[in-house]
Amino acid sequence: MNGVATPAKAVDENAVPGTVHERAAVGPMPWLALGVAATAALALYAPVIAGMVSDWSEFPNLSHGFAIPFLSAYLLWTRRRLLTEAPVRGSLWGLPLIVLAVGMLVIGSLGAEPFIARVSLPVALFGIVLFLMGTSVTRHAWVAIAYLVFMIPLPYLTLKALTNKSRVFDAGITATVLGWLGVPIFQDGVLLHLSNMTLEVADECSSVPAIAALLALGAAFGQMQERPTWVRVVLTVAAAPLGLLSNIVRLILTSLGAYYLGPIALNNVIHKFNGTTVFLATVILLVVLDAALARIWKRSSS
Amino acid sequence: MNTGWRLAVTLLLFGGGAAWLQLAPPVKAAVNPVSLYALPMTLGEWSGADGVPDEILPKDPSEKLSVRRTYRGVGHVAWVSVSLFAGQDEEARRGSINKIYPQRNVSLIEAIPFTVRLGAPSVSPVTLPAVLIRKEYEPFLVAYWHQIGSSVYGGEYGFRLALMRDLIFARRADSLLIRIATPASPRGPVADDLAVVTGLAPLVHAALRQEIGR
Repeated sequence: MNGVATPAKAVDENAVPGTVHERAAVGPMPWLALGVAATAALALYAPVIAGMVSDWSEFPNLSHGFAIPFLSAYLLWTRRRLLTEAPVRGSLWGLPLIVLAVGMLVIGSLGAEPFIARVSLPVALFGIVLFLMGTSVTRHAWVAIAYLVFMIPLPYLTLKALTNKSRVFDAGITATVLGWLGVPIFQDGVLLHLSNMTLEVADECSSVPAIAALLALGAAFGQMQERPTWVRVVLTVAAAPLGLLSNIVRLILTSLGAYYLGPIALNNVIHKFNGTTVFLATVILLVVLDAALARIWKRSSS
Repeated sequence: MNTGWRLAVTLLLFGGGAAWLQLAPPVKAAVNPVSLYALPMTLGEWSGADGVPDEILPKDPSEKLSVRRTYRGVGHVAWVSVSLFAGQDEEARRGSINKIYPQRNVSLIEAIPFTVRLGAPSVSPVTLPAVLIRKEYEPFLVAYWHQIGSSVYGGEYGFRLALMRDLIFARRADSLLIRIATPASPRGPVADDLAVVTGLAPLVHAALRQEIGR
């Protein structure tokens, strides 16, 4: 809202607002202030970050969290020229965001709801960038800050409820498809009774716990390609259903293997490393989808 | 406002947040564990005995204490567990039905909400959750609610919000998880099994409310 920079025209009559001339007139002070504020934020959030790191280490489904800050930093690095050339005019709109973030941190920490406290970290970072650096810098930095959301594990209650529903849903689809393929099968909740054995769609067989990782993968994939915004949005959003599809295909193949080959089908690499299998299958599907969307985009723009 | 002022305001807000967190009083216990034994051996026409089969109402590893009774009456059997969860400012010590059953290899969990009037006739009926579970082909109906003081919470999200409110404003982190289980007839209507639970739930709630309600 209120400018902190010396007007560019006072320094150079030919300077265009928003160019490197204006940046040069501002000096390093706002960037230094941003560094100090970001360091203070990291210190304030140290217990919250430690909690997340502990979750990433403990649960394999959340281990992608380690990669997210680095990917976020990479997204900032790819925009470094735009960031340094953007005019610096701190915006007062950042102040309510910082207040909101601190409030969320206090409520989440005192109320023992880590999800609220964790979500407030990107809000705080967004707030300090907007408050100290202004809208132009924020416009180039928001994607990298927003990307940090993917490092935050879903609340346990939501995750557990979704996982339970997904197990029954996955078992239902698998039973239906196997029925179409002529395999005699009876579904009882999460149990699939074949004529030679009973299979259970366990928690680990559900792709729901990996949805955050898949969404992060889709978002990173979309951001790292030279693509229009709509393609990036489609790639981000598509990662979750593609992951679910990959998982159901894996369950169907495992059940078919168990029916035709017996228990040996459950001891193979595809079943044991189910997370990796689904992740790789989703990457392949994303590449195919990206190629199809890129063709549509090039055709419509030519 | 120049950059220096903006930085000062930011640091002031962060410092305020840190101070608030540091100066918050510690969480204290609000429920005397002994009061769980207020659950009488006789509830209306039901007479009880200590103990519940663990496969029907498994213990939650995070509970501090539980009173577990088997009640028999008018041709039915029902199992009641009243568990106290204390110090729930730590996530590991938090009680949730979603944790208990999926960890016990239950093959089917089907939600069946029902409405029951707990307390005086003037009190509005509450909708409580019940789950039909199947353990080694035997179905059981398990109704449950969370209780903070005399307030009853059927939904997990409503309970979490109430617990958060209690933690933030009163620095209390105790709650009860009450479960009532009864065998479910494999082919009969669920309504008959629910009738057992709806008959017993107000009696259990009234007994606990007298001792624990605030």
